[in-house]
Amino acid sequence: MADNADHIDGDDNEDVRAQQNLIKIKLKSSEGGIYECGLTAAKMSDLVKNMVESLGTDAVVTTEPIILGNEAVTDAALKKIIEWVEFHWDDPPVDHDFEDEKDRRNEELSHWDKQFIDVDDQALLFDVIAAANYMDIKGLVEVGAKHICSKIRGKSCQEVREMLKITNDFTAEEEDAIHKENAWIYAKD
Amino acid sequence: MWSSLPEPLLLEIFKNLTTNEMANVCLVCHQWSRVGCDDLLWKHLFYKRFDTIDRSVDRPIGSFESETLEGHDNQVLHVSFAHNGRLFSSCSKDGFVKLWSTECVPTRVRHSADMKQYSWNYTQYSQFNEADTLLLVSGVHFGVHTASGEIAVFNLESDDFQLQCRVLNKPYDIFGTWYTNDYLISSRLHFLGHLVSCSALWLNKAWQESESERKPIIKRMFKFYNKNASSIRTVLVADCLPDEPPEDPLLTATASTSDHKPSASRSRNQSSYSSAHRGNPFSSLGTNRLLKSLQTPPNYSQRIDFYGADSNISCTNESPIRYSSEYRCEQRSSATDSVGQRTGDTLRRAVSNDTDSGDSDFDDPPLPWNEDWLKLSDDELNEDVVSDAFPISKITSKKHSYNKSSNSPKVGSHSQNSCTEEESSSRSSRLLCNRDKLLLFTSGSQTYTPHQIGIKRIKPIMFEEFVSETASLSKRLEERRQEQESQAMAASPNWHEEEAVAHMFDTVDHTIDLKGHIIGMGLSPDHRYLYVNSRSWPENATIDNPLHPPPIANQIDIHVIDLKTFKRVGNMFRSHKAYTPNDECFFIFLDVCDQFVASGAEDNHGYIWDRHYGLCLARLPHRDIVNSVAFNPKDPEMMVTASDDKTLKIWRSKSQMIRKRQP
Repeated sequence: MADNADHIDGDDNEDVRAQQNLIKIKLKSSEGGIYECGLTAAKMSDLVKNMVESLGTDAVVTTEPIILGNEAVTDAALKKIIEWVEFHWDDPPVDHDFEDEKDRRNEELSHWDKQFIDVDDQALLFDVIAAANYMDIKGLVEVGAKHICSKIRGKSCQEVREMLKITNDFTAEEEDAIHKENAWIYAKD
Repeated sequence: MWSSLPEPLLLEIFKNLTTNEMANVCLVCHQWSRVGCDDLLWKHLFYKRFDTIDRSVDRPIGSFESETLEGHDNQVLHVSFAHNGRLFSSCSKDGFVKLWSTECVPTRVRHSADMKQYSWNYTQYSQFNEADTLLLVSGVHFGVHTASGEIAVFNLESDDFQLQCRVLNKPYDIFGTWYTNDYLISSRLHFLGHLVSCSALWLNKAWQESESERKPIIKRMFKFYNKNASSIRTVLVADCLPDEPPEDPLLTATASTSDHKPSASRSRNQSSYSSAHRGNPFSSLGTNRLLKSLQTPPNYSQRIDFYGADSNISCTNESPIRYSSEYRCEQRSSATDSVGQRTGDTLRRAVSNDTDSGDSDFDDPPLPWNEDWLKLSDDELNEDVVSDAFPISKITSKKHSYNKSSNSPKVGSHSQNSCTEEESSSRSSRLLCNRDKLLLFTSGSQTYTPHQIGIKRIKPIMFEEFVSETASLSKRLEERRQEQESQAMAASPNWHEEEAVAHMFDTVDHTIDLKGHIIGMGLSPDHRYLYVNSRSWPENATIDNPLHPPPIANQIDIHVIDLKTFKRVGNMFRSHKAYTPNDECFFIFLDVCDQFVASGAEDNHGYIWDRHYGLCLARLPHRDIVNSVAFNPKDPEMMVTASDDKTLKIWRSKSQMIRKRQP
């Protein structure tokens, strides 16, 4: 049985991935809510992937749910995250080795991702991003990061502080020092 | 809420910003500013803005994950490369030591040994000898609170990874190190009293010829006094650079960086050095210039800001490591005319005519397996013409040992000529190594956590070829020992009085206090610089109880120590993190090659920095703490990281990856 599981785990074949996603595993939020998720989708989270690999697929499917203890993984955030991985699980795998960092930066978010991440509830947005970071879902972290960037863009630092409710802990001298250091950026060519 | 965003996430956000936007977010708050100073982030922005820059300035580094090696069943604690680059070894909590071959793709385990069968709990450290014929493996014995460990030596020339010898080693975190190709250094710890102990460093031959029962294979090198529950750990041996230690001004500077309380050992050191080197002007122009360049930043050692937080902002304009290219050239030129200097040294040394005291400093144990430390120590008492250790005779006894130790730095520079002389005069001894070496280790003076770097010059060591007339000798020794034992019993010294017992111990030539918990050390390939990972204490931290060391920063600082001047030449305040509290024992090893410095970290990444400019060049992700990193000494474009995630990862440069992918 273990052999079989190993075989499936090690195979990136599309059919196998689809087949595996029919297997449902249970994820438990830090608030106690239990949610089902396809295996391939759940394994987009490196955290879940590691657990599944160390416990064995069979154990995960038949027994207790996987507990996601980080407080950012609220019921609402977990639901949101499952929605995202269930949509994205069959994305072609990214070859991180050769992907040019620059291209990825410039890439726009897809329409679906934009709608997905554009939530009004700031607390939920924070939880989704922090939980994605905790669960190590690289794609979703990127979506969250790009979304926040789009909100920061074009705002003064005071506006950013207000938007994200961050207190300014700089002294005037420190601010001057940074200004000075970054003077070359503002300099006209 | 948003201010509690984890820093890796912030970095992920910042990745998408333009230069102007970055300048803006750096003004939001301290945390954003610190994260926003990330070198890799700015590298891309810089290229974008100055698009005429030739990208080939980006030297190839092993930043692409090439392979993940699964073979250990538990955390991988250490990785070490053979000097020829063909093999590397890994140590793990699973008790195995594994030897990997880099010559085939995929990388495979060549040999593996389960040290649990020798009641080892786990393997912690390994080191190849210079010829890559033997592998030293250091591990920890079973037991919850044990400090006891063992060193095992494996033969790499045999096909079966033969275990050649085992040596007790205590404390285990001294690790042990090769002195020459055939001799290694181990340690024994002898408790003298509450919080006071003696670290005895032993030189061990890595094997014993079967025909030579009477040939000694171990020899004690040094005895060091440990106070406040500290002990000597993490020994390394570096080749001695030909130049002399500097004159007084710098020495004083060195002393002032270590603790300010004048202690017996240090004043003794200074006096010995000044007497030894007065009137010996530095002959080479290079050294003088070197001294000047070192002194240019006045009191640089004082200037070093121990708290990374501020300097993250303030130090970005200047290179965090203080050595110029001129400084480096200097070293090369001085290395080439080292021969001339050495002959000069020889003459001077010959005049001082103290070739014999080298031997007397390294007493052979009466019998190889005698472990009674007290009895051994009495040999030296004898030589000092001190027959008791009463406080009354303290002053005289100290005087004697002062005289003796003031000789030792001179002896310390035994040159080739004087040694061959010595060899021919006493044919029954063999010379292990005709060059001076430096013994580097961590120690403590105020608390048990290692916070100082100790440096001791190792003179060429003579080893007795044969113990002749075993029976009668042992008889004689027995008598002598009984005699001394009765004396020792009658007057057991108060081990807590450091000054009173100082004459029984070897002194440390230099101590450099880093005011933080030292968690790893590595030598540059030319043995000129020692790089140290340390987690600093808060500024002005005081230690009332040696069993309660101060809290340590989450940020690991890398300190650079010049082994020619024994001075700190710079440190990098970098972002690699560690979270283990200070009362736990842990190590984050680093490695240095010609151009780069690499280290593990507890934020699940390995790091590579530019050695000259201190810039971060790559982050190497793992799923858990990265304990150790190692460059391939023959190919710095390849490196290996070892992690708590039970894997080792091999990293290669982009061009190597492309070559690998092509069939």
